[in-house]
Amino acid sequence: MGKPLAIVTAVSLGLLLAATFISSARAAEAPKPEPTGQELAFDNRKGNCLACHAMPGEPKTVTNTNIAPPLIGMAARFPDRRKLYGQIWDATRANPDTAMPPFGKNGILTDTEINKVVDYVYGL
Amino acid sequence: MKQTTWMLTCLGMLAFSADALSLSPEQERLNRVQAVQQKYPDIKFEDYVYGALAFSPDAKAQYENMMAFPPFESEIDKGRQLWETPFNNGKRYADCFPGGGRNVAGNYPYYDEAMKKVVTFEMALNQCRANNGEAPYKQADMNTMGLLTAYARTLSDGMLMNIKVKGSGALAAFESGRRFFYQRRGQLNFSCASCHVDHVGEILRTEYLSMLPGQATHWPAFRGGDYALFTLQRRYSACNQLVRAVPMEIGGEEYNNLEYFHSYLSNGLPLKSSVFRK
Amino acid sequence: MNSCRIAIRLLVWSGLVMGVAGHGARAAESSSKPILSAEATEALARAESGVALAIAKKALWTTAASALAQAQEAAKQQDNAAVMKYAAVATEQASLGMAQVDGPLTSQH
Ligand code: HEC
Ligand code: HEC
Repeated sequence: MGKPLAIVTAVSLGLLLAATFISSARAAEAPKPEPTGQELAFDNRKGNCLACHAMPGEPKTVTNTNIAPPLIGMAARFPDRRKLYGQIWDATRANPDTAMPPFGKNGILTDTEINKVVDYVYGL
Repeated sequence: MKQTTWMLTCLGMLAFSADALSLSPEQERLNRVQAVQQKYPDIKFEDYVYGALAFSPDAKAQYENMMAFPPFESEIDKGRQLWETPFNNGKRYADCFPGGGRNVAGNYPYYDEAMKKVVTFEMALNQCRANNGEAPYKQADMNTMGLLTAYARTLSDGMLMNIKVKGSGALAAFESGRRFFYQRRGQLNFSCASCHVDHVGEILRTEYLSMLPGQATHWPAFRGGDYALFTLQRRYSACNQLVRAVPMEIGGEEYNNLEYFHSYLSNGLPLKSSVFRK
Repeated sequence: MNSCRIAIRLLVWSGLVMGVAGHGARAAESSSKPILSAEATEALARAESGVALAIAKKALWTTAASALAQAQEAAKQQDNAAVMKYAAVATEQASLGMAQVDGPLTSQH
């Protein structure tokens, strides 16, 4: 291996390292992209709606559940958006014995997150 | 007129006491069994021991296949070695139990009037060790206590669960286990009953939910692709974590009382330990 | 044989020296940062006692426990804002857990 080649290798290695460093630094700085309403609804650590609700109008879902009514035709069935928000915020108000987690009351989802889920569910 | 008032008062008092005091253990058990029978008339009572498998003929057939030659047989053998190896004083576990330990597990947990607490089979195994000069096992340790029960409990396969609740101390322990079962817990706000009573046989995303009666009959179980050993109380711990509740101590009073209640609700069903579960 | 032993001893010693030096440097670095504010200290103490109460009541949520752990970690890093944020979550989640176990039982009908 000639000297120039070695230098080129060293320099490019250095650049590579620097690039990796910069990109990882940037990854740490830049906030993660905010999850969408759909992602929040699907994520089993967040809304996890699919654990209990089928979404017949949504081809991407993977669930066999039959625990709760399917989420479909929501805009027609919940003309009052606040009612839908309230159901997700604390389902025990409508049914004290419900199995549905009180997403807002117990801090499982933030207000912003619930609003995104409501927007998403409205489209179903 | 007078009589009607009297009767109404009586009825009122009855309603009041029924509300304030909970059902007798036997009434509670019958109610839970009948509710499953009404919802799933085709599933035989004896088959409640299969839990979630009872709802899926395919999964049950796969299970039967696997149980013909359980891939975790060698683990049960390790348990047999623990059970058969004499203590330093020459005595064995078999000497601590009537019938050499056959057909005993269905009597546990029982309420011990002298100690004023619930005694599980695991505690009895540790008492046996202590009486023979050996250090107790940690009940959460699957490599000692877990393996030991994986064999010891098979000696009671076929025995019917036979839990007794008599006297005020026993009733209080049962009641504490009962409350644990119906009390909402964890950030996700479920009680055990939210899943295993209210939504029995329904599918949580991909999993059928097993019925409360029968849930205590087949422990320990070997779970998942790596056949991880789970005693019943380790399963409690997992179900607590599922709902984001910090689990109680394995072998502690809360889980012992829960196991007392839970096992009573399996009364009359045949034991079969060391089975496969997802 | 002998040289081998010396080499090992050297390695051990240099490791120790570097460890000590590193430790000193880190200590100097953190003491140059501001210490935890009174507000943050108080928020952390409130979270710790809230979680302790919830444990005693057998009502602790995993979310309260992990928020407290994050607050304590932030306190080690002298990060006031993060301490306040996580301590508040821990306190709230602990009190929700305690209120929950006083609530009604499910499935009684
Ligand atoms: C653990 C089960 C469970 C989960 C998870 C769950 N739900 Fe529910 N949900 C129910 C049940 C059961 C009902 C039926 C009414 C009741 O019992 O409260 C219900 C009812 C509803 C209703 C009213 C439905 C109607 O047709 O009237 C809406 C809307 C709803 N859920 C939305 C959601 C959304 C959005 C999510 C996810 C953020 C979600 N649920 C997660 C169990 C669940
Ligand atoms: C969110 C729903 C949910 C809650 C709440 C829940 N479990 Fe479970 N549990 C499951 C699922 C899912 C399984 C696996 C499928 C099955 O066997 O039911 C399971 C399995 C079990 C099993 C094993 C059944 C078997 O045959 O192997 C036991 C025992 C059990 N749960 C007890 C409890 C107890 C006790 C509680 C309360 C501390 C509890 N569960 C709370 C969902 C739940």
